[in-house]
Amino acid sequence: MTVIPIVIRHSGKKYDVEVDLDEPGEVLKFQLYSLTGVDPDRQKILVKGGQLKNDTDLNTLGLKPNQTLMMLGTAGDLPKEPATKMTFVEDMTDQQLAQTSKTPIGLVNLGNTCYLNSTLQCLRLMPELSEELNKFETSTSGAVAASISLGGRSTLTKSLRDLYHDMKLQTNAYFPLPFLQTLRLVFPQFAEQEEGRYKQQDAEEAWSQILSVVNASLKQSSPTAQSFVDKYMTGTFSTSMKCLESDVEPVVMGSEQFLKLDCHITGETNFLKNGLMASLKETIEKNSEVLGRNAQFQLEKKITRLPKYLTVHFMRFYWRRDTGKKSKILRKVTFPFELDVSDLCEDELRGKLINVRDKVRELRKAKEENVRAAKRARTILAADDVSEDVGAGASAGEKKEDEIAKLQAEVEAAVDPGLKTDEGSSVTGLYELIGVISHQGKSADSGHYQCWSKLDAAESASAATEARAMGTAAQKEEPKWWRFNDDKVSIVDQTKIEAMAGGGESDSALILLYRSIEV
Amino acid sequence: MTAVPKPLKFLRPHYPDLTALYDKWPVGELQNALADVLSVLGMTYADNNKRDSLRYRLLAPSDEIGNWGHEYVRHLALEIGEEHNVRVEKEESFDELMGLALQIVPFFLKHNAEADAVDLLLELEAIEKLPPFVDKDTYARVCLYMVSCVNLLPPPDDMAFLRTAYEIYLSQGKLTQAMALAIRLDDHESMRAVFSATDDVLVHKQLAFILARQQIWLSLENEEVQECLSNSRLSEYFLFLAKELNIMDPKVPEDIYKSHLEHTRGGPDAGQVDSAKQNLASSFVNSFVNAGFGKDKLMIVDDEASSWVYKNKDAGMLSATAGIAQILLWNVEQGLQDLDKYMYSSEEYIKAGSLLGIGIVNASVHDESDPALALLSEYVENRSVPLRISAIIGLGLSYAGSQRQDVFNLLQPLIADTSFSMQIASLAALSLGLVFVGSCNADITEVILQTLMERDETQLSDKWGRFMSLGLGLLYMGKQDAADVIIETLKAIEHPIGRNTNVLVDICSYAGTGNVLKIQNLLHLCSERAESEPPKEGENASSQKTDDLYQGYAVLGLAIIAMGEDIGSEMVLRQFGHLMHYGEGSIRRAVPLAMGLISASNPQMKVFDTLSRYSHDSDLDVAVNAIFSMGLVGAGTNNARLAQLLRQLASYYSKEANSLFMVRIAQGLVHLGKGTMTLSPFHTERQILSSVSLAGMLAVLVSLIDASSFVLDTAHYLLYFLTPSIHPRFLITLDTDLKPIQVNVRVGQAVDTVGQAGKPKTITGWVTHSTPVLLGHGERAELEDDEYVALTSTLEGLVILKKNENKVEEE
Repeated sequence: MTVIPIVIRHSGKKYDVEVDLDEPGEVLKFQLYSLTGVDPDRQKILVKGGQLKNDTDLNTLGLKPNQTLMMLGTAGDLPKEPATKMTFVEDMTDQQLAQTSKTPIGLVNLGNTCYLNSTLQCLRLMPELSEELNKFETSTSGAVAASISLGGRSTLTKSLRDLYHDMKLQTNAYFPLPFLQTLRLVFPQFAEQEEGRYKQQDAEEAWSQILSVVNASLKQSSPTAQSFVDKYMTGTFSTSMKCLESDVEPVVMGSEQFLKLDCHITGETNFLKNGLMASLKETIEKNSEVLGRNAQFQLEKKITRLPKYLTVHFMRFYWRRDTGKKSKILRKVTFPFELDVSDLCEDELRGKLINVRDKVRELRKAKEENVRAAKRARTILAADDVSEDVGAGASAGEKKEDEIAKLQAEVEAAVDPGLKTDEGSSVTGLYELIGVISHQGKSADSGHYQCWSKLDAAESASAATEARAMGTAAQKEEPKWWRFNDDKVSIVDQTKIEAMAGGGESDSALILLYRSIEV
Repeated sequence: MTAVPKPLKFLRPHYPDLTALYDKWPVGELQNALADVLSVLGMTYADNNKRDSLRYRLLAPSDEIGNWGHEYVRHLALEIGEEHNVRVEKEESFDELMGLALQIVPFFLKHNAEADAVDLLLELEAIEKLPPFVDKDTYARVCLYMVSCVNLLPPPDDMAFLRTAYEIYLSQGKLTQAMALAIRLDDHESMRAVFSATDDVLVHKQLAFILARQQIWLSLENEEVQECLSNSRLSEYFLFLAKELNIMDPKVPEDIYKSHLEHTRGGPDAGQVDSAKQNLASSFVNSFVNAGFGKDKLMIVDDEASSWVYKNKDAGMLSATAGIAQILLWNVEQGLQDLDKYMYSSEEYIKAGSLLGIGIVNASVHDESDPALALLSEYVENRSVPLRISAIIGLGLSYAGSQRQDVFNLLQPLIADTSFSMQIASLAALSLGLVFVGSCNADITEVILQTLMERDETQLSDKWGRFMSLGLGLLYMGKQDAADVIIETLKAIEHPIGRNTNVLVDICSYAGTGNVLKIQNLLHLCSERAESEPPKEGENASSQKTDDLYQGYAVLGLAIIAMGEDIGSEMVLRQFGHLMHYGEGSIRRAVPLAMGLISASNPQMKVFDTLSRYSHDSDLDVAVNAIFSMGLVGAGTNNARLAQLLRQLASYYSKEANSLFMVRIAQGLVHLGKGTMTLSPFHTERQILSSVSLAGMLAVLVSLIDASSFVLDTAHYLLYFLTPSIHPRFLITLDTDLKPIQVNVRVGQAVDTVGQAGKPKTITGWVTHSTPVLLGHGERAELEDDEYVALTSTLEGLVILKKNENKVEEE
């Protein structure tokens, strides 16, 4: 029996082992097991010419005293593989990708169709429209006759439905070709050509035409004969026509529906409100029965119903006789991100709204204060550890919570019950800007249209946290906006939207889409 | 004629008469004296090609040649050269010329005209006669001049110069310099001779460090010296550097990408779902950046289930697991221990990755227990292709340059047996090429040639075939005309692979020589297709792709050959511009790679500006290669400008998965080892070309000529062939116990002092640092004071310092 000392290296440590050369390798392994705790089956001892096997005769290895051998192996369990396998982008289909992706997709420009692309993107900002379009399918499947009677109009609605449906399933920019073809079929004016190419069109025109068709066909399929457009986008004016030249002429009262508010731009218009006011109080020339001649009448409109989605149209284009073109008024007209239209309303409606509006504002103020207080509490907490202060701060915060809950309840209570039951109407008279169609250039027939839409709160927050995570200075958390430039979709800051008030040939807002602030 | 005395000047008009007179005079002392005078006067008649000076000098032998002045002697030397050429042509003897030359040489050496002395002997093709005349005052300048000439000399003069300089250094006891030259000669006997020239163990250790840098494996008697040679403490020293520089903290890929500085962002959903490709890129970046540090945040974690390895897909897992080894580079023990766990994985790719990792962790390091061979040999015959391939590559990486016969025995059958797939056979050939790089091993040559001849057409056309060719080429790395026979043999192979191999062998054999004729040949090859292109159009694209491969190799060859010499590389860089304009196909794909290779780890603005232009090329393959080359150029430098350019590229290619992948790889390379490493195959003052480094890089570059079928496909593990080329660019000073010590050194830009009078400064614009320090490209260090003396002449890598006993004490 020959016993020699050897050294075993194992994970950075050295072990002195007395090895009996007459025993098989297995014995050495068990010796090492007691020292290192590595299971003999998982020991790998590197000797000359390979690994030590269980039945290796140690005498054949020519070991010298104090020779160093290396042993590999880990004590304990083997590494566990994660229970679930990773899924990668490469594994997913386009549809799955589209579902995980939050970035909306763009629409490919098919030759001067940016007007249409931006209109479609902007219309898509109203989720209720897509929903209603989806329902459209089932109800019209049998009503072929109806669709014929509408002169291909339901085809347009259908193709809009398909367009929005398909856009959800894609990650790459979408080719809106079928829709474009239908549109040109239904409205030949959009197929107008110039020098062999399709002409640029007015986005506002496309907007109105599409809505009118959709309205008509949806109305037909809807059991209540009220379409989305009626409920969510249409408001009502009360009109009064007064003759300015004769007091005898009776004031004609009436009512009128509107799909959009116009903003007339004159030499004095600086703010959106100016323009809106001007358009609600017009002077027109009309035959007066009393006077028996044409006379000046004042037409005054007051809003009696506010829809959830309010469209505002800047009347920037006008026909210029000298150049023979639809020219553009470049004047700068600033617009608010939050619009209060209560002063455009009829007194009765205004009464209902003001109350809610004030409460909403109060609530908002309270919330802001709460946030500020929480922040202050946090800084105090960081500054010194006086527990009293912290307690006070916390209780203050709690108090605020209560207050907010109370205010919230008050707001809800303040909502006029009549308005509440009117589906798709605004109850506050307060609107936030969610979408803009902008136009760049000098005339309606040229230039470029783009659509801009506000990121919803969640998206905006994640964009902000991302920015912060990447170490950029935590700026004021300004809402971000999507920019839909045909097939290219990117994120921009709110300042970019502010800059669209006009005053130059760069992007200026043409259509604003406001959404009513809910309680 | 300024040096000629006045009376002689007046004799000039009478020169013809005097020559006539000489013939009339009787033989005797007086006639000799006249010959003496005529010889001097003949100098003024130098233009008539009669070489009178020399003639009369030979007629009147004199010992005091210098008496007539320096100018005269130089003139004589000139005429000797001319006469020699004439006599060689006529096949006459030139012994008397030699006798005179050997008289002149000592005169030159004594009078600061070393260059003239060397040139004279060069012309007489008798440089080996120089050593006896050189003494301790002149050897340094003589050798410096000789060594700097080597790149400009045609073979076999270059080798003769190296050999002579080596002998001078050896006789003067400058062993480290002698060793450097022995390495360039690639002669193991000379290396041993250097070792046996001294008994000083410390010097032996220093010599071993130099050899270790070149990855030359010798077996030596002294165990401690052997340990230095085996690089086994490289990891330890590198970690010491890392601690001193305070860069131990692991970095994650995001620290490198700095994607918040990229302009376009994906929006809120960026990073919602991981892309396998980009995760793979991150795996590589992570392993490149943390290479050698032994720590990272993604892979080596306590809870294996959350390891980044599992965030990769299929073959990606292979590369990710191998990345662990890259992080633990040179740390054999820890590396093997960490990889061991993954050997038991049920996932085949992970297991394969750990095998490859075993090879990687052993790269450039030689452990006495031979772990790579012990662990990998059983998998070479495994039935699973990934395991097998990993084992083969692993062996190649870990034994690169070792010329181990047992590796040959293991891999040789894989090449010889034509029933194995081309992939396995070719990678085995490549691995053997790496192990036996520059050895001219006849057995391997035969095996490869045979398989090239025996395999059928379709097999040879396989995309992997190129590595077979490369394996053959690597065997002849730097061996110049030793490859001629092979090149002739290859001409017999009709398949295009014959031609491709031919070019590869050719360029490898002249690697780093700066041989102008070869460069011209290669340029010629590149211009070939322009004429023969049109009729080829009918063929399908894939055969086209392999058919013009040789041109791609030729472009790489331009870089490989020219890189040894500065002027040549400048000129070649300009040629690349032309090739990019007029070339097509593989030429254009290879140009960026060649540019990267020629200035690897040397971020010159003009190179990476050009590359950044190519990185927007409309041909994505070209762009991808340009991007990779940008990484190569900046490898291990942390170059801020490059980093910025790459970030811009990352946003530019944010939608292009393959290009983005390459941008990431390039970013990882730029931050290789957190900026402490180099891929440059040159070391020891850019004198020595490390054939192992070059071989590793070449393997990657050859695969990148067709990036989309290898690195961008599933063969991304080929990128790990870079591992043997990775070396730290540190200077660590060691005391006599091989413990790191801190001394002050001046680090500055190296200055070329060849042929300068006096004792010129060797560095300029220096800054004083205390060791350990990082040396940039073209930088040189010197000790600040004389407290210590270095055992080596070049302060690079590991340097042993000894207390200076003759230190001049300051008052």
